[in-house]
Amino acid sequence: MPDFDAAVRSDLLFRAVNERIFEIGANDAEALDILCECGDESCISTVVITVRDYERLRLDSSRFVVCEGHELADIERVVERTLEYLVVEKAGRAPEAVVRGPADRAVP
Amino acid sequence: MGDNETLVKEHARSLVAVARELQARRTRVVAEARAERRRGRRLREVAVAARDRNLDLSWRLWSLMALPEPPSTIPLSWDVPRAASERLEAACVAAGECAEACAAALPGSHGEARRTLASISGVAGFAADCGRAGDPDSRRALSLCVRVIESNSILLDGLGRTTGGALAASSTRRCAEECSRALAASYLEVED
Repeated sequence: MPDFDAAVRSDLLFRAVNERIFEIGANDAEALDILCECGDESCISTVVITVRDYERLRLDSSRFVVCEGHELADIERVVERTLEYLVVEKAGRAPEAVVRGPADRAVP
Repeated sequence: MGDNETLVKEHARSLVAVARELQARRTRVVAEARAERRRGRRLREVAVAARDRNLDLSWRLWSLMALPEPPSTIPLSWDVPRAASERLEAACVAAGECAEACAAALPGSHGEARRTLASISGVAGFAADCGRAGDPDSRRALSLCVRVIESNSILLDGLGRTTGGALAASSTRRCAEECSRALAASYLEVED
């Protein structure tokens, strides 16, 4: 299992990339292929998500989209389960670590 | 005694003459050998240049999909050692072009191809911006970009055979190649 900091770094990197994918692909599209936002840096699984669901999900910065089985029980709890993906919420000290979000990164 | 002395002197003169002739022959042989060596070097350079040109043309043919398989090696002229910063710069340019080409191909695509193009455009654009900004995550972003492109290679091959997708598909290949080189250069720099 990846360590806590590495997992949070991965989550944030994947989320920042997904924000880009959303900006580029959301126009005139119903669904997007976004990257699994799990804590494993080597993961390149993708998740098909509707644009509407993605927008709804991004309203809460502590929530991430991951593939089934990619959730980290120690720092995340599953709050939503679909056929395609899980929505996990950071628990414990994780919410503070992800609070800076993609907007605070050097590269938006 | 006088006759013997004359004979010895004549013999000595003939030996000196033979030695001079041998010396002259040696000089000619050495000069010929040098000329042959120079000619060999020139031929070798011509052969290397021809092989490089052949390889370069093969890569171009492959990028135009006229060859089913890419060549197994790259031309020597492509592999001029460059500093990691130059490699990173080249990777950022290639990733930026890839992001633009994939975004430009979106209007003519549908379904999975469209979603994949948007994903690659997002990943490549992010990697390009990270690299340009000197973000600490640059290497991770470049690595992610390479892996995402490679994981979609089958779809990109199919896209490369379409009129609208050829440019996007070829730009993704170039992007993955440049990002891989930038990563390799950065690893070597760390090692140094």
